[in-house]
Amino acid sequence: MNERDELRAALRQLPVPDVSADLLPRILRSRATGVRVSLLAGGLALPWRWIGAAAAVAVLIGGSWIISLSLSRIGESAGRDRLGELLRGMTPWFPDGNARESSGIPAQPKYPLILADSLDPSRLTEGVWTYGSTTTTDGVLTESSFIGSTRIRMARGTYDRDPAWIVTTARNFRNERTHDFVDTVYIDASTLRPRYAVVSGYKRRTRTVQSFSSERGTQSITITGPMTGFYSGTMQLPFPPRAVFTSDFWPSRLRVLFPAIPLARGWQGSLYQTGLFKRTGPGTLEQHAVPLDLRVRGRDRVSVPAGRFECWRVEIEQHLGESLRWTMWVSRDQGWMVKAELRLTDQVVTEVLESYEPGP
Amino acid sequence: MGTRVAPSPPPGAAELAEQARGGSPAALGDLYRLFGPALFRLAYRLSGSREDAEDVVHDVFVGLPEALQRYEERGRLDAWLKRLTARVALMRLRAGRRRAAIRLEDHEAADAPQRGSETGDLQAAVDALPTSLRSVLVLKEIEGYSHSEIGGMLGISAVASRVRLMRAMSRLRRILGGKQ
Repeated sequence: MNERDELRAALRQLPVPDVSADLLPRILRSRATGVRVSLLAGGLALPWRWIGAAAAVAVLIGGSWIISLSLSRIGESAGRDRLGELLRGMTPWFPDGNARESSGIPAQPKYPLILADSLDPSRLTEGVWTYGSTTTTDGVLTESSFIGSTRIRMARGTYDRDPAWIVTTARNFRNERTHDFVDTVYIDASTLRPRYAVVSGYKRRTRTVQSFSSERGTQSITITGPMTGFYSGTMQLPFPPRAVFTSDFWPSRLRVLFPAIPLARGWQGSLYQTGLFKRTGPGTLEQHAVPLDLRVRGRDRVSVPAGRFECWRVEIEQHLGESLRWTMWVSRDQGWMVKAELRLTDQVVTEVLESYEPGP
Repeated sequence: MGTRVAPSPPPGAAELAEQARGGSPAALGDLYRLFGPALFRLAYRLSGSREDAEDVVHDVFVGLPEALQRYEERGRLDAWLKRLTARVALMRLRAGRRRAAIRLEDHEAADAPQRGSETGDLQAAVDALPTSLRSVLVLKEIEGYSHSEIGGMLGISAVASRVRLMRAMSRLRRILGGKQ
């Protein structure tokens, strides 16, 4: 027997305590009282619990909107947030357990707001970008089961007879608790502000529609199927009419804007994100806007499945309950988001550009 | 290299799984009696804490009836359950690493071999390994999985699993050597 065999044998003989006699009764009690555990969900838990914590911020922001509804209509019962389940996945990429209660002070933009006048919309191009994402936990457990892939198509079109970019995003979740989501956002071709967005989810049984004017936003949620419901609300946008914003809290939305942003060494700017809604009390949903701070931190050469790119390394701070720091690598030539990384205490979420197909 | 010789599946496991999938508490209890101790041992070795290991097994069995909806009987039930348990244990480690470390000290006083003895030193050395290395060590050297299986379980390549095992063994030798 060599040294390795001896070590292996010793390892196998390490004592293991006996399991408690009451474990099986505890399991059966848990089942009997309705406790359920989803074992096959992806490495990243879905964002709904996070959204709950983030809502604490919402009440403190002047521009928040309130959507009144009767939760009893959609079957909410003790210990079960069915509305949450229905809407789950509409704002992806946020792990639970990461957001905490608000400090009580709404976050303010750290840098000057990015105004439409500072952008170069002529750099946007038609095409299809496909990204793949993984989550690595403790440097050990790497999974692609949360969001398998994201496919973004950008095409020229019109909205209300004005030139617009039509951005369609299809997210393929490899997770039994979540279903695929498709959304389309119409972005004004000159200001690059969203004007209209429609999000389908949960077996296409939910449909969220947002529309934005220069100063206001409206949002409605239509749910079909067994839990039919319709909810809507409006909000005053808490930022200037020429300030750029995104229509939800998914930082990767920035990939549409990056080609037009004049990134350079030392560049910094902030923009708002809006679109999150959460039950904040009996019968209410609330939406708010939070700032996103961007700063170019350096240059890197990045290799991804789509190729090797000279990139700006952009650090992004997202103020959602607590600050989340993203790093995005944006190709210097095209302005494409080539790679995105979110580092948490013990998880790294990574999204990389897998392929690009030019438009017609 | 060690070869894992898997025991035959217990008789009736498939039927019990089918009944548990339908929500039968009795079948769930029988499955627990069949597989629970082995799953607890795996969870304990991965987590290093009896309390955490029991939580893992609790979660596995509480979630089992729904999880079985996705079990397609392409593989052995016991192997599938072990993979599931390893996964839950690793996810739990991520969420409660600090707490597990604190509990370990309490636990050592009651259950673990005394430090200074060979077994105690080995246990302490294993406990000192980072999760990424200990997981591979446990799955390969104690549970007997192949690197390919470990890679599939942890979402890493077989080569990465092999490298981590080498590092784990090297650290173990270093720690144990330092005590002599």
